[in-house]
Amino acid sequence: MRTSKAAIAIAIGAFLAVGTVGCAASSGGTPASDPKAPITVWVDAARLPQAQAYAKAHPDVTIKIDVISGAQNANTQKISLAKKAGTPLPDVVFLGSPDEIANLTANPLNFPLALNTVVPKKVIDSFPQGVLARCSYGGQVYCLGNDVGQTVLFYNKPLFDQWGYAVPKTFAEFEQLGAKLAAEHPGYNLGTVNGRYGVDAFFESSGCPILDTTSDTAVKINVSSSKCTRVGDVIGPMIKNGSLSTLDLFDKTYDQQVAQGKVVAMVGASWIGDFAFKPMTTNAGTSFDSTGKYAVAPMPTWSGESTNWSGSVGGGIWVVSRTTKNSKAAVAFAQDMTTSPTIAKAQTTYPAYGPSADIWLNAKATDPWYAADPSSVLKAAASKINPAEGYTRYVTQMLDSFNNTVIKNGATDMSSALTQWGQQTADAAKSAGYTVSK
Amino acid sequence: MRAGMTSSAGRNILFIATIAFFATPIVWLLLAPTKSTNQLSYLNPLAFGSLSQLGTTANNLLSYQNGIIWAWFFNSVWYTLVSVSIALVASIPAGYALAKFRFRGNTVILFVTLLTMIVPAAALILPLYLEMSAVGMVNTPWSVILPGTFYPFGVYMIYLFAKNAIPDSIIEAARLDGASEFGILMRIFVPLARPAIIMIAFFAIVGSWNSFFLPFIMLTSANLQTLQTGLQALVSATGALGGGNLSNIAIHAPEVAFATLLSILPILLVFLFAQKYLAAGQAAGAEKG
Repeated sequence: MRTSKAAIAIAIGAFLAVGTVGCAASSGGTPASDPKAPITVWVDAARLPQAQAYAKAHPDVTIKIDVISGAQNANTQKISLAKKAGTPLPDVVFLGSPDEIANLTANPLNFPLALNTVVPKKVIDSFPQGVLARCSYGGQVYCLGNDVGQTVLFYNKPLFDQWGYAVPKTFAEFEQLGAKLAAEHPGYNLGTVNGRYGVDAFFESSGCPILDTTSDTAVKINVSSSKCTRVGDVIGPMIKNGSLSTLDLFDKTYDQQVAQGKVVAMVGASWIGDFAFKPMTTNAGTSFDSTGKYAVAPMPTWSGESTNWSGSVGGGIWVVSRTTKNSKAAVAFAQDMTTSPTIAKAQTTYPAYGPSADIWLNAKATDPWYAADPSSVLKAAASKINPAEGYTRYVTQMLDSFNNTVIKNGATDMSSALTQWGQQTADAAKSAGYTVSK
Repeated sequence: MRAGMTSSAGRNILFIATIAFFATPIVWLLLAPTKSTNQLSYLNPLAFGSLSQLGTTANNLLSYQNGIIWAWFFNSVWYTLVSVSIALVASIPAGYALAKFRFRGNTVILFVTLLTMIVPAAALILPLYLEMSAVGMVNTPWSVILPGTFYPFGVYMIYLFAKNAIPDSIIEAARLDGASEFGILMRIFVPLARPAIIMIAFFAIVGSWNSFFLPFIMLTSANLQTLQTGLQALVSATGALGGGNLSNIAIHAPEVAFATLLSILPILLVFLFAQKYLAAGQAAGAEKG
């Protein structure tokens, strides 16, 4: 069954690849706005209650809500088929896998509406630049951020105090701390660099050009850049001495290490406290209670940088169709999903929209799970997400390649591993229809 | 003597090891809903959790979106029943006619039937979608039911059974007694072919019940989803089987295990009902009558 599904996915993937290669998207004309036209919105299961609440509160607009799988490219497959068949497309789509927008913006789908033309500038400017930059091409903004996983440094404050460790302010200090930890307390670690936790938290915060989109069909990939090699210089020795794990954050073995309090610190997304550390240490059959243990510190700064840039792990986006017949209602829906104070209060992860984030942080400031109020650090990190990276059609292959090169061989020969990673990623990007340059 | 005992012990060890290898995942699956997510990690894999946790797991799954899982379950049942019924009504006379009547194109139709069996289902998705779209059936139950009624395997199995297990002399005798062709089909062939019919019905039910990609592509409305597509959407939205659950939805690995059991239960019941016919059906046509 799995093989069959994989074969189907490959077949559809190939179909999409052929269909989306080649031409840049146009910025689109003036959207149609028939105030009586119904709108169809596609959401995932988690977004369904807020979409239903919006529909209930706006009886003047006919809103049809469909629940679409959050699986990678599920929306693209359905939109691609509907477009070929000439059936109506959805008016608003939530993308839990935001890299899908790289398929949707490219021809022949050419799906999203440029939102900077219809959403007030004040609203657009209230999203972190690093969030909207990822879905911007040719000066047009094609998404509104739902939530964001800006990276910060989580650390076990009582343990740091007990062992006399200082919170690292630079990645050089982070590496030194790793060496010290490995020597003094083997078995403990400073987090994981597997997959997106390594790429997004370390390479992306450093601005390593691996997903550096210059248009929806052009990308810069250059792993020999100092912005990439300086990351390798830090994580290579740390993987070797065991102070950085190469396991996935949600791997059951790593889960056990979290549950036993072996994770002394981690450069990770804003959500790892609530959705990794908390659940992994609750009723986990160990004596370690994480409540009041972890504090949040600003991202360490990479050598040669004056700003302590953050990366971003996860976060969904909202997209409006340029074919909508009722753009006013569709845009209003997408805008409300990202800016509503009510939704902000119920949001589980850090809201991308600035004023919503402030509401969300009010509750987080008094959360007893944190050793100290994390709000100011989280807020500052959201505004410092490195805007160097974009959403692409080859992100899955890039992450697979990362694990097969940097994670697998980085401890012994980081330079060679980085070269292989860059080459394999460039090949994947070309296959996905990108022009690759350095 | 000693060599014989060693051989016997070796066989028994191999037998037990094989049973353990295949049974362990099933036992684990049965026990998983009795544990919390963390208990799945740190308790003995084959340990029983608690009945209260089983209740919590069931409640989390069944109360999701006011029990929408029951709508998905009902959809799966009726899509399957209608689809399989039409498939049987079409494939039984088709297979019988191919085996017992000589007409122009007989061989070509049989060849095409065999050919369609080897066409990957994925290759038909795009034309099927375009076809359903052209008649306005996308996102309706019929976009899943009608393609499911195309069942060349059933036609071929009935053809084999009729050709090899039903002597022409029986049919000739019935004709001499004045039975109509439809009467021969219904009163003579169908009762005799019951094991083969139940076998192809069983495989049709399994195929239709487990169908994922067709409803995944055709259906978008939440209340039209099948159990398979609904649960997949739920699992992917909650990261229950990998990654973090960044939502407030109380769906985790135990709930997914419970949903899996729920989804295979009907197939298990059908299998228990049909197993004696399945054994007979597999042998049907093996010997020439």
